[in-house]
Amino acid sequence: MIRAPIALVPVLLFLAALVHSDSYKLVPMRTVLGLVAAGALGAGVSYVLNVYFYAQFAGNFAAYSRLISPWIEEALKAALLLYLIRTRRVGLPVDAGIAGFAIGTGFALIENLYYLASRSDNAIAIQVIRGFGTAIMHGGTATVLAMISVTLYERRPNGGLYLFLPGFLAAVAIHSGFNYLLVKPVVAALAILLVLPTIIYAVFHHTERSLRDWLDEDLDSKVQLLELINSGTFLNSNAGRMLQTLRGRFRGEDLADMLCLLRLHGELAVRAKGVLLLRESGLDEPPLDQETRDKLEELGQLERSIGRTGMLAMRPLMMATGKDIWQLRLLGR
Amino acid sequence: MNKPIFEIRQGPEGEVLMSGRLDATQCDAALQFLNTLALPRLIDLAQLEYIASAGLRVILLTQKRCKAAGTCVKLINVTAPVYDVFHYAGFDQILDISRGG
Repeated sequence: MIRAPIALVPVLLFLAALVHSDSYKLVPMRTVLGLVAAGALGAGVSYVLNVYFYAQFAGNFAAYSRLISPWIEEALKAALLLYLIRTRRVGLPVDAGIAGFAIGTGFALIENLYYLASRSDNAIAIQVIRGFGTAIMHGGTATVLAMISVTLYERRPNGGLYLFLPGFLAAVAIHSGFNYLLVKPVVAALAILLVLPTIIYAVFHHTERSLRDWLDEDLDSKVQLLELINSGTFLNSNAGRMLQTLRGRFRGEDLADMLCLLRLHGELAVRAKGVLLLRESGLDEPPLDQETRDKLEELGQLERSIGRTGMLAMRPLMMATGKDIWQLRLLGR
Repeated sequence: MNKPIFEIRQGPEGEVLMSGRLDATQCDAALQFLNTLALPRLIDLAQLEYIASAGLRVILLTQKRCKAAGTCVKLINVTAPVYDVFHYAGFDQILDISRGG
């Protein structure tokens, strides 16, 4: 059983490196461990499904592992990621990537333990290399799926499940390709090792830089917006004129609520960015104060009062991107 | 004579004086200056007209350094627009800030 840890240690180190590189501490360690456990559970479910579907399959095991099982296994990982992304528990490629790799690591742990138990006659070197390649593959495909999906959801925050399709198909293709190469485990492991971690790390760091840029630009623009509103000159601004064009379509009290919502969202967005800045600086976050809790509640009430049509009309002014919506989760929304 | 965009210097009683606009282009210089001081306890912002997110970072990193040494940064004479930024970001809960007259 020493083979399992040897195969998994490099993957766990890569996961630890991703978590450590997360400057804004978007994914706490207990969440990472929970996702590893969820991935392990997914592997258990995939075992049951694969046993059932293989019994119905006409071809041999090699064909099944290349053509059928990648769809099942990636679908299970995708289901977990779908929940995280749709509920805004992850909102950036950074936290989505960590979540994906954690899920894939848990998945690989169970799969490797199963193969070690069922094929203990294989040479230890082959077992370790195969296990290592499988672990990187599972972590990598889930990460690719997560990063592509969250990037698409960033642009269309209210988009449907179809936004998962490109990432899902990419994950299935990588998984199937790896299984084709498994006749030569060393080749498969090398191929996956050379490609996936490099891509993932590059995207990760690019996204961290983009997050910092977005944090700086959006915080400054929100502060300027708040200054406009507080100074009473908002209605003469571009945003104010845009709001006034809605006058014929909405009641006066709805427009008043819209202005309040704009102001409130601006204040909360700056507060959320304050949380990111504190984490980036390595300072402890104070617990959420009552004023912010009250503002979050008020935000919810204003959204309900304005209604879906009103919120859609306000889209050019706020809540247009996935990050706009996601950032409020930093305040516990 | 043009007013400088941003200036940071030490006052007669050892306090740090900032004036102008602390934006992204000035934050490296500001942080470098603050890091040369042993423990900058008092920062007078009476003449600071504007602070961007980069400036907030400078203050937070200085606060972190001071906290590690067992002390804290105190911001004094903070103007209303600058105070609003600290308040919206929630930093008035972790920094000692007093507003200007």
